[in-house]
Amino acid sequence: MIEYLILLEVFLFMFLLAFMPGYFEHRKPKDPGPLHIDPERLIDPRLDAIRLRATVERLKKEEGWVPVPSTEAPKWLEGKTVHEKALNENKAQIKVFRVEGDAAVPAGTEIGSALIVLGDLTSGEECTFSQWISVEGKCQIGRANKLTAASSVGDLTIGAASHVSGFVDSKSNLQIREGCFVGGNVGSDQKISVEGTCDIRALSSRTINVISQSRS
Amino acid sequence: MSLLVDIAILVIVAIIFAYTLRHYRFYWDRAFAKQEDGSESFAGAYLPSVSIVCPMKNEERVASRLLDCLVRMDYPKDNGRYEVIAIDDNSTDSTSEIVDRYATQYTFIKAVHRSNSKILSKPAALNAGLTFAHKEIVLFFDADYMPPRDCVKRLVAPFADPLVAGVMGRVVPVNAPDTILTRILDLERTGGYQVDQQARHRLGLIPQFGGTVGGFRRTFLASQNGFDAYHLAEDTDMTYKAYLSGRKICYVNTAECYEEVVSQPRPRGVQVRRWGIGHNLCMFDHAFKTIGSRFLPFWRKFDGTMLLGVYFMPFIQMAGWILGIYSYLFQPPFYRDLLIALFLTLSYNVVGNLALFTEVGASCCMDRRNRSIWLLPLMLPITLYYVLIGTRAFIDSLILHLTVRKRERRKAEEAHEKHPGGETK
Repeated sequence: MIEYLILLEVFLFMFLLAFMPGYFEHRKPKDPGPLHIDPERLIDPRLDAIRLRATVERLKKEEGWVPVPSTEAPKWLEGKTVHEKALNENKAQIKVFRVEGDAAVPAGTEIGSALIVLGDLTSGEECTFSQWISVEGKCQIGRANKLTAASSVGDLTIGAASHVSGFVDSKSNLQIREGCFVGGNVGSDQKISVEGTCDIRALSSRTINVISQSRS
Repeated sequence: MSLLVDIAILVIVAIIFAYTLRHYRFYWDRAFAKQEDGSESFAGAYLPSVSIVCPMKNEERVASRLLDCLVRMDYPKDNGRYEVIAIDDNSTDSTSEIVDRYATQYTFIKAVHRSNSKILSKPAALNAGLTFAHKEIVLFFDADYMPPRDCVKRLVAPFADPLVAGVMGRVVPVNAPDTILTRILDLERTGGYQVDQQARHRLGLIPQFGGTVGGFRRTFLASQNGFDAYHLAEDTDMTYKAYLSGRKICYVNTAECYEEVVSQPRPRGVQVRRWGIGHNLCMFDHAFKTIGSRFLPFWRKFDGTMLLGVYFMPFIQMAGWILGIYSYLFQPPFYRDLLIALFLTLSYNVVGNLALFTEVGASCCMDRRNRSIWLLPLMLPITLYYVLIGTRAFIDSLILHLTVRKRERRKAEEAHEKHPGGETK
């Protein structure tokens, strides 16, 4: 009989033990709950660009940038000061190139890394950028380029017949040439000009200028 | 008798096992699958005209708070694209004056007063509001809700898909820290929305419209002649009507909204019993239609049937316990089955019992509220309380279905036979 009583006590002790954390949490709550919802929260169509700029700013301040020797750097970056760094994005690791000064990408180049250009960027025809690009100066994308997403502080131009799967965003003027496709939002702090017939998901700017006839 | 009891126990175990697997499937999807949602990218870009219907019955304490939130809502209010229909539903306090004051102050707010109404129910109040709602989309907010400024933009985005009939946002209890019950209800809500609804939405199953922080396309509501004014679960009823007519409901996890939950066990019991009765009546109405639907693929039928049976489960659990005790006390022991029974019992204790708690725990982690997991074991007494209430609700709904509703249906059929072309009520 005594064995059964001991067993019952052990069982009760184990049973009550399971409730102890809950009891402590109830007595002295450390959970910040409820889930915080900002009542002033708004939807910003340029949120992706804002996030990218924040990531770039954070990356620029971070340590761990490794200089790329001129022998290992892509040909189009010869003579430039280039650093690289790995970045975890969407559960995958991508490589980011940081180019000091201006950069010019020759026609037909394929770039698999994300790109931070601290000067101006120009690209020739039919270039492919598999990851996002962020430009501190002006950005001139050539004809029939393929991009993932582009952000610039200076003026940004997307060449005719280019294909951008994500967003395009500029803090200055932004120009989209004829026959472009942009799968994300096109946003500018100043003015957006769209030439001819383009396929764009959304435009976001104070001034949007749609030119029905291409000037070229 | 002995064989019957054995078969009944096996059936109950099979049903409980199916629900266990369902919980784990949801958890797995939410925790490990890529959570992409095309419709959310339309938030802020797709802006149809919208009517917001707010039923309020003796809500003087919270009415102006909700109306302030709706006034400050970030949605284009020009060209009559946005309207708020505030319904004073037979209030005896100052709700009526509050509603009138806002309607005078803002052109996009309409005040609707219901007084001496024959049917005193929320769906009846919603139907009264619907007669004044003329926009493409109709959203519903209860008086104790506090939608943030982006809520409407997020909720209307899925309607860009013409197949979407309705939408549901996420509800978060604002008074979670008040009592131990509100804290546990907060956990329930977190698991129910963050994992359950989101997984059902992502897996293409049946996310449920919850009656508030959500809404429907007006044309769909019109096609159904509004809500069933006598139904206790008009939200579930409308969800199934949408799916059975070939449309769908979308859940928007980012359209979060604060609500106030009940803080005492007794009102919570009344609430669960009411929902239980309503939900079970939906099960009686829609279970066979769901299984036989030509619009629904197999897994949607399967999940839809299980969702309908959610408030039937407490009865099943109770029956399982009673049969188990009976079997233990009165049936001869079969030692050859002992190992199997032991294996099943241990497996269920380790894996089965944890299914629901895994779901809630995972959702707490997703919300970055790991500490709240400490409260998880306290859900056990509440779950037992729900089993008792749910069992009673099932018996009530069965009696209601077999007596009052059967009589009503017979009357309706007789009326239809007399006047085949006329409408029946």
